Amino acid sequence: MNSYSLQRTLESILRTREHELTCEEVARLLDRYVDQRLAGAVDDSPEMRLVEEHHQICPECREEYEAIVRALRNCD
Amino acid sequence: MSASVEVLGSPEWLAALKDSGPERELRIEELRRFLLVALRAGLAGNAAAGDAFIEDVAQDATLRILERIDSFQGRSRFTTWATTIAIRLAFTELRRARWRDVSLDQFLASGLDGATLLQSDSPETAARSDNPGHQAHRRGVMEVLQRVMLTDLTDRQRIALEAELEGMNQVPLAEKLGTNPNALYKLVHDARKRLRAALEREGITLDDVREIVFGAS
Repeated sequence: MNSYSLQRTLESILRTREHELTCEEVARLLDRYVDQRLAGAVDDSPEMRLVEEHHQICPECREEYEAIVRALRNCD
Repeated sequence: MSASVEVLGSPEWLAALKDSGPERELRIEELRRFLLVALRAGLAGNAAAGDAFIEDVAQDATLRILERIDSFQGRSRFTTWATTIAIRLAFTELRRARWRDVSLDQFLASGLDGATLLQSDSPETAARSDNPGHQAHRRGVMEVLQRVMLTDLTDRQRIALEAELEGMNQVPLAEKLGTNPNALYKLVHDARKRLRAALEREGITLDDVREIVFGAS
């Protein structure tokens, strides 16, 4: 593993939480989360906080979330 | 034949979608057209998502939504729920295609034997600090990290973690490892927690890691 990968490993360790939702678990909550974000009012439930944290850890889910928001803002 | 966003997902519209009859076909087409617009906007700028790909995904997403229609509970707008399904389907297919012809072994050919340990820092890292003490500290942490990756992780965890950090997407990586994305995420999550614990055992705190990652203050 080269230096860049080791650096990214350290970055991933920094972002690691004891409890994290998997991508599939986030997917089940994503529609509710997206609507709340679009309305500017995300509730403070543990579930929504975990979705938010997951997006800080998982670039793939973050990419999907941003695309969903883009799509809906275009359609609204 | 188009329906406004407000109409899509209304109780009457959903009832017609679930019913059997000529109006159902009209509602299905309205859904498909909505998904086309949503996908084009959501995937704008993605070179791999051409018109033909988006058409295919809109069609597949329509079918998937119809299969799952009874699971829509109204906790979100229908258009949000449907768009989420379509966008996720699109990314899954894009990522599968991106990695389809890439062998995991070849992708990880650089290995973890430490032969290339810290041969050179990135320009950004070098620019962050020209303090020799900081550089020595950073090298020390990296050496420990490389060692605990070999002692504290399973082979499978090392492979999965490295592949993800090198950029391989989860769905194709899970398929290449003969597992599913859910299990893969838990495998890598456990690996990250093990590494964090191992670094702490070696006397390297999260503050030390932060200093390495973000530079000396």
